[in-house]
This record gives sequence, structure tokens and C-alpha cells, in this order.
Amino acid sequence: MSLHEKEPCRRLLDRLCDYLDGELDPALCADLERHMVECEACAVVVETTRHTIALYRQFGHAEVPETTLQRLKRLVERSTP
Amino acid sequence: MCANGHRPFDEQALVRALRRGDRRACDDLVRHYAPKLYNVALRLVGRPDEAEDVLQETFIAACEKIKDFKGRSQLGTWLYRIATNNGLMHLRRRRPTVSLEEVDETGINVEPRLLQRWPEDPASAVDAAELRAVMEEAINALPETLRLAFVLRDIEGLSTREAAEVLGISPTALKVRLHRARLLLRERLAEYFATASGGSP
Repeated sequence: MSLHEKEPCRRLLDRLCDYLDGELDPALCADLERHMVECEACAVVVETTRHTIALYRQFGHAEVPETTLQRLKRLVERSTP
Repeated sequence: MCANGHRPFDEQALVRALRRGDRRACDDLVRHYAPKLYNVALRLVGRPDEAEDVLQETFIAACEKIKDFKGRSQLGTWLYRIATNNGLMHLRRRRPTVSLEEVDETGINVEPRLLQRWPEDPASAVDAAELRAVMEEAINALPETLRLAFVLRDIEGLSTREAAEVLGISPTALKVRLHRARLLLRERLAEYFATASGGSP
């Protein structure tokens, strides 16, 4: 049976973003946390989704090249009235 | 050219200076916002030269239209919106059907399938360059609608309301896209960690 088919797991998946972003009301949050103690699959989904976000926050930002930055500054200076 | 890179950033003062046509303010605008906007532009159009074009158009438009900026949203949100729209126009030249409003990703299955734990500190458990390559490939494989929601909210750190405003969608629609993006990226990385750390997928 997949996570989507089990009611408590589905409830957690549906609220995953709100849970990870701390936007759930405390009662529902406590409820989902009780479920995660009993359900390894849901605990893993929450933990690995949290890892995913943290990895992209750490490594996912493409740096603007210095040459691009300098060209942009010159261009904007030239176009300022 | 203004070389003062150490003054604290004051958005309202910057807006006032831009409205006066202060050249140094334009320099400050680029210095402060180019790093943020470049990431979004590059994630959207996929090519550094084109991302630079998007930023050029964005800053020129911002300096020209600053008098129309009402201050109802933050300056950053307004700039992200201009950059996103410019990036979208670039994409449309390549693919005329692309749209950021249209939800075209509903047919994608986002159900979590790989349910093994990852190493406690995933980044140190694997080869850094290999992990970064897998992450790049995974984010580039997302549809634009999902990719932008994820980049704005999770990489750039905008709030749900701000990211929704940039994309011109409701906060609820933003959350749906973010949910799907996070699960798709998780699945791809789960696949990688299952093989890279010696487990079986």
C-alpha cells in the first residue's frame, strides 16, 4: 500500500509543506509528530525532504560572475538619466 | 563608480535616491540585487549569457519605472517580478507555449517511493562535486512553474506570500507547486543517496 492510500500518512503528506515551514497549528503539528513516531516511512519522508531543502539552501545558489556584475554596473550607470 | 560596499542597506533611502536619478543609487541597486536576481534568472533561462541579458533588461526597466513603484510590496519582490517576467519572455522566444500561470505539472507523480533514511549529514557522506551535479540535474529537470516556486521560496528565502506575488499566483497555488517541487527533488536525491551510500534503492 502506498503512502497516499493510508489515511494518517496521506494527512501528513498533504500538510508536509505547512509542517516543514512551521505553519501548522500546534494541535495538528503534535498529531502529525505522534504519527511519525509510529510510521517510519512518514518520518523518513519528512527528514529527507528537510535534508533536500537544506542542501539546496546550502549549494543551490548560482553566484553571479564578477565580470557580469561589472558589466551590469557600467550599463546601469550609462542608462541613468 | 561608487566603491562604497560597506554602508548598511536601506531600501527606502535607495528608492528615494533612485527617484532623484542618483547614479550611485543605481550602482547600489545592482550591487545589492544582482546576486539574488541572477540566481532566479539563470534557473529560469538556463544559460549564463541569457541570464545576464535578463538582468540588464531588469535593471534598466527598474531605473526607468522606479517612479511607478508604489512601495506596496518590497523592492526585492518588485525586482524579482520584473526579472521573472523578462526571463519568461526569453523562454517564450525559444518555446512560444511556455507560461508561468498555467499549471502544466499536474500529471507528474510526486508520491514518495524511496523510503530509506539518508546519512545523517548527507553533504559530507558523498562526493561534493557529484552531489552538486545530481542536484543541478534534478532542479533543471523540474517544470519551470515548480522550479521557480522552489527557487524563490527555498533558495532565495522569500515568504510564501512574497513568492506568490512574484509569480502572480495565490499563496495556495504557490504551496501546491512548492510541495510538488520538494517531493520531486527529494525523490531524485533519495535515488542518489541510496546508490552513493551503498544501500539499495
